[in-house]
Amino acid sequence: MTSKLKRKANKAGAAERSCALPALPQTQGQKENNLFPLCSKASQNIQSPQVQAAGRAPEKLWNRKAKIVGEFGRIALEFLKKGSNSKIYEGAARKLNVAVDTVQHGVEGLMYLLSESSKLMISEVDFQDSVVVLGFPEELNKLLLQLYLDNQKEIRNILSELAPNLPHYHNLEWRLDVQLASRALRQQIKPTVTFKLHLEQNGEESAKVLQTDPATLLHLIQQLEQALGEMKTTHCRRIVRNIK
Amino acid sequence: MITVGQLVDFQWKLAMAISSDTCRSLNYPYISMTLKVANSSGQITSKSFEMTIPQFQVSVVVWCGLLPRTCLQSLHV
Repeated sequence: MTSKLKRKANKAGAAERSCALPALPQTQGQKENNLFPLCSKASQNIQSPQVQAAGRAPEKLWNRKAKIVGEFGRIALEFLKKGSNSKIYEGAARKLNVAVDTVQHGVEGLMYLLSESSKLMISEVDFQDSVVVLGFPEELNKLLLQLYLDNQKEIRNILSELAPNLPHYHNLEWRLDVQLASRALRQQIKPTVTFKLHLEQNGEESAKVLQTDPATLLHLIQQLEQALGEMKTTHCRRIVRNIK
Repeated sequence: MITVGQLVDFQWKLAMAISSDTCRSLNYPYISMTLKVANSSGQITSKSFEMTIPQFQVSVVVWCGLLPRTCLQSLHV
């Protein structure tokens, strides 16, 4: 019981610090820098009244705990994917006989741990070192590591959708016209191209109608092909090679 | 009181749509019009639209409903 509440109390500290923490840059060969900055607040929370009031843990609760941590992990992942649901907090609090706030802090702390470690893409060793600082039993550390490794890719996919979004291409319709007469000039032949550019942003669609003459259109195509051609320069090739 | 904008300019052009991405051989004549309207604060907005030849003929007749018949004859499209 002690360890479970201690874990929840520590995670509460982590969740509270979530807005103020800067992401530490990764440097090779300097493990200390890669550790999660959870240390100072975590040690403060070990002294919290919840922990002191808990008392000694009976041995048979140990088996139950692994399942609970797994359950908490599953809830945290669901919340990362779909957003939080307060009914689940109430149900869990009732089953475990603890306050709803404790459960909420616990889950939020776990969510923060998973999202920050996926964001920084820290290695197994660094993750383990960071979690060891919190003082949990070895089984719990292994469980957390497994949770992190299993879901790292999925969490990264979700986080990648949080980037700012400009309107992007949805569809392009075109039409070739020939102007035969206007108010100012009769009997002329003037070819033009009319476009309807459909754009999409955050689920909203918009359309823009544009018109150009063939010479400008050719120039436009030339500029776009030049932009694509930039991918083939040595500078760009070097960067792409390093990313891959 | 509803304020109505004042027509400042009226431009038209006759064009033929030859082909598009959905139909390679359209051959469809149409009239394109651009109206410039000034609202009560003097701001000019321009609105463009297209219509088929019969639609244009109908609209001409409707707009010129108040003019005497002799004026109508000089407005050949």
